[in-house]
Parts: sequence; structure tokens; C-alpha cells
Amino acid sequence: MERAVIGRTAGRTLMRWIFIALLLVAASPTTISLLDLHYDHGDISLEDKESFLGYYPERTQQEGHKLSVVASSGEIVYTFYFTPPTTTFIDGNINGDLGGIIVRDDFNFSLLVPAGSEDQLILTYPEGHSTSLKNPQKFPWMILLAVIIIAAGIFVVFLLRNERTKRS
Amino acid sequence: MHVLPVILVFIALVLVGVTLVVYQQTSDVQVAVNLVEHERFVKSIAATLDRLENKNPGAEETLTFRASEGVQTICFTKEESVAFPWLSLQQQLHSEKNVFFQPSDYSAASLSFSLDESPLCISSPFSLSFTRKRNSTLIRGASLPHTCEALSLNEDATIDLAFIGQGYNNENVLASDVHAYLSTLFSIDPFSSHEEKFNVYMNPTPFEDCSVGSYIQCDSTQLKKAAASCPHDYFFLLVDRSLLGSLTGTRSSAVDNYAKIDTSDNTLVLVHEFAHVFADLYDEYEDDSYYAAFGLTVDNIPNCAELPCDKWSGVLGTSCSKDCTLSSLYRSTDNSLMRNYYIPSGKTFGPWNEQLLEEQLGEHS
Repeated sequence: MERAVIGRTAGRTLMRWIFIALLLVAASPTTISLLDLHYDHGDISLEDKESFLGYYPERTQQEGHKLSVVASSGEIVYTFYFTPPTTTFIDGNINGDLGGIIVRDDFNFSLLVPAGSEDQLILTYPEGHSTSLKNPQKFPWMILLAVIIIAAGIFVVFLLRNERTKRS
Repeated sequence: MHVLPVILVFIALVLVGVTLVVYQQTSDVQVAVNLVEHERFVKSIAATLDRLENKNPGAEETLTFRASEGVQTICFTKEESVAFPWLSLQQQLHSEKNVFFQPSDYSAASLSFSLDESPLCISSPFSLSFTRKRNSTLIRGASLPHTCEALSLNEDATIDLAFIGQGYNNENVLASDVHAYLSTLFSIDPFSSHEEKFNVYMNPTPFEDCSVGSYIQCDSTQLKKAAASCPHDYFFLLVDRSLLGSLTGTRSSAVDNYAKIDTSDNTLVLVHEFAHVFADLYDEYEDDSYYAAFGLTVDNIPNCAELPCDKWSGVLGTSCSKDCTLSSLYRSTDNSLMRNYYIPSGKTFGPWNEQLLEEQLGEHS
């Protein structure tokens, strides 16, 4: 009888350890992307994207803005709904101050999503229109410099010719 | 017309142009430096493998490698893998290579090693253990300073909570504070009867990117990065009392899927903030001068109603009490955790709010 109780206890302990081990294996980090987004009066743009190993939250929301992570093969890897965090609850304190909310229409926020480096991000607004979120392109400094120098050159030549015409 | 101003304008334009080019060239130099560092990083791993080749079986070394700043993940493979789309793509492009990097701008390499598991993917900082076997050197990931600690794991859990601490010099103090908050959270209905639905984790690495004043302001990107170390659906930043000093008026806050907590406040503040992010419950006190400016409507506020409080009609123990965020709205109980948790009648959510929270708990199943 006593042996049976010990056996049951040991069995339960073993099951518990197996469960914890399974849970830890299941909870292994995966490659995720941290998306830095900018919200400007309803428009959302991608400011930056950084990938690393980690965890992203499970999303249960069924409406709102929809973001799809699309692999280079065209397969949709992950889709979820979210609401841009326009509202911050700032609460009261022990001094008796009342709380309140801050509603913003121009701010940065971030989202954690599963990812690979070649993924494309498709954002669908609640109104239905979709857009591809792209990393901001590097500013074309060389082209800008060339334009400035050519413009300055033309300007100087024009002025010098003008000066010469006046003198003659 | 004088020529001098024209020349000055021209010089100014040229200077602007030169500055822009220098800036652009500096960025290019940084990219070149990164690539050189990357080559050095690969060479150091190759050198370690070479060195161990001459050692007796059983010889072990654990080394942490510093890669170029941009390298985030290294994967060692021995066969084609479908673990990550980027890795699979790299393997297809470079079938002769067996070491791959993310981002893929850093070139793949071919080294001689063996693996227990393929792919072996490690994120920066790269800590690797090398063990010399009879014919090859086995590479494994070495244990790193822990970045996530499981505090409570439940078989039926469907919701992951994570805690991050700012200002804590000792992770035991952080763990102790987390346990205090959990015991408060799980003493309040409906969470008290659903404790098994939660796993709780803690990132013990001190977080330092928030400033503390009348409220806690953080770099949300860095905060989310810290939260990503642990499984999380919702997370909390606890700011240690020592940081708050004489500031007793620091306000806790909630936004998105996280809350920032002033630990000098009542522990019920965490339950209140969690209700904001978990079920989108609003405050049940009234401050028209404040809230009215934001164009709130009753449709956005699940725990407030217009007369005659149809939302919770038939729910036992409810009433229709004036003032709920706006003076034109009504709350379901005289007091609650969403109104004033400093007084005895405010230690529960009340029947209607509990129902809203229950519904949200049901969403995570």
C-alpha cells in the first residue's frame, strides 16, 4: 500500500518534470522581427526592422489593422490584427491625483512578429486598403551632391555671363 | 552685380555637398569595417576548430565570440533545413556552405565540424562550446547569462505574463516583488479562479531605458526588445522604489500590451493597469475636463454605459451609478478596482467588469 502511494507520487513528480521539459521545449525562442512603426494621423509607416531570436505575443484580436508577414515564396507566414496604441492610461496615485488618458495621433510604436530576413509586410487598414511596409530607402546622397554642384555651376556661369554682358 | 556673393554661395553649396559626401562615405566605411570584422569572426571560429583538431578526444573549450555589430544570428548546419525561411533560402543559394548568418548580407562560410542537432542557431553574443571527438569537433551552444526565468508554469496555461525590472540591483528583490504582485493579482476575481491559465516569466537583466518623473517614460522599442526575451502576451515594467526616491506621486500607466508600474504604490495598481490592457476597461471616476477633449464615446468603453445601463441589465449585484470616465456615463457598481482601490469597497472589480474580464480570459483558450 505504502509502496503504491510512493509509486504514484513519484509518477506524478516525473509527469510534472516531463510537462515542464515539454513546455520549455515548446517555448523555444524563434527568429522574430521587431518592427519600429510610425503612426501619423492614421497612416502607418515602417521606420526600422530588426531581427533576432525571441518571443512574440499571441494575438486574439479579430478586427482592426491587419498585418501579414509574407515569405519570399509568397506564402503568408503569419497574420494578425492590432490596434495602434493611440491611448495611454495614466493613472492616479497615492497623493489622490486622478488619472487620465493621453490620446496621440503622431507617435512611434513597435510590434513583435515572427520573421525571416526576406519577408514582406502587408498592412491592411480597417477601411480595407492595403500597403506594403518597406524599410526606408537610403537617401541618395551622391545624386543630391551631383544635382547641387551642377545647379551651382549653372548658376555661377549664368551670373558670370550676365556680368560680362553688362560690362560690354 | 558683384561676383563675391556668387562665389560665397558657390563655396557654401560645395561645402554642403562635401559634408553630405563625407557623411555617406563614413556610412560606407562602417559597412566595410563590419565586413572585415565578420571575416575576422569567421576566422576565429575556424582557428578554434583547427586548434582542437590536434587535441585528444574529449578536449573541450567554451568561447564567446564577438561578431560584427550587425550580425544577429549564426546557424551551423549539416543538412538542408526548413527551420527558418531565410536559412533555407541561404542554403539553396550556397549549397556548399554550412555556416550562415543573419542578416544574409554577411557571407556564409564552410567549416569542418559536427553537430548534435541541425541547424544549431545562436543569437548574439555567440557563446559556443567545442568538444573534440574522434574524427571531428562537435559544436554546441554554450549557456549564456540567462535572460528569462520561468517563475510559474502551468499545464493549462494560455496566457504568458512577463516582468522586467528597472532600478533593481538584485534579481531576488525583483523576483520577490513579482511574487507579491502575483499573489495580489491571483487573489482578485476573476483571476483568482483562473491562475492555472497563466505562465509567468521574468527577465532578470536590469532595464535602464525609462525615465521616472510624474510618470514613467520609456523607449517602447527597447522595452519590447527586453520583453521579447521571455514568452509574453502581456508584460509589466516594475520600477524599483529606490529609483522613485522621494517621488511618491509617480503615476503608473498602461498602453498597448504592457503596463509600467510605480512599485511604491499599492500592489492593486498592477491589477488595475492589467485590466486596462487585458480587457480595455476604462477608469470609473469622472474627469470631464480631461476625457471630454478626446471625443470618447460609450462604444469605446466596455465598462461604462448610458442610461438606463442596458449593458449590464440582468447582471446580479450591479447598479447604475453616475460618472464613469465622463459625467454623462454610468458605472456598474458604486466603487470598484477601476475607480478607487485605496478604499475597502474598491478591492474588487464588481460583477460586470468580472464578466468582461472572464470573456477576455475565454479568448485565450
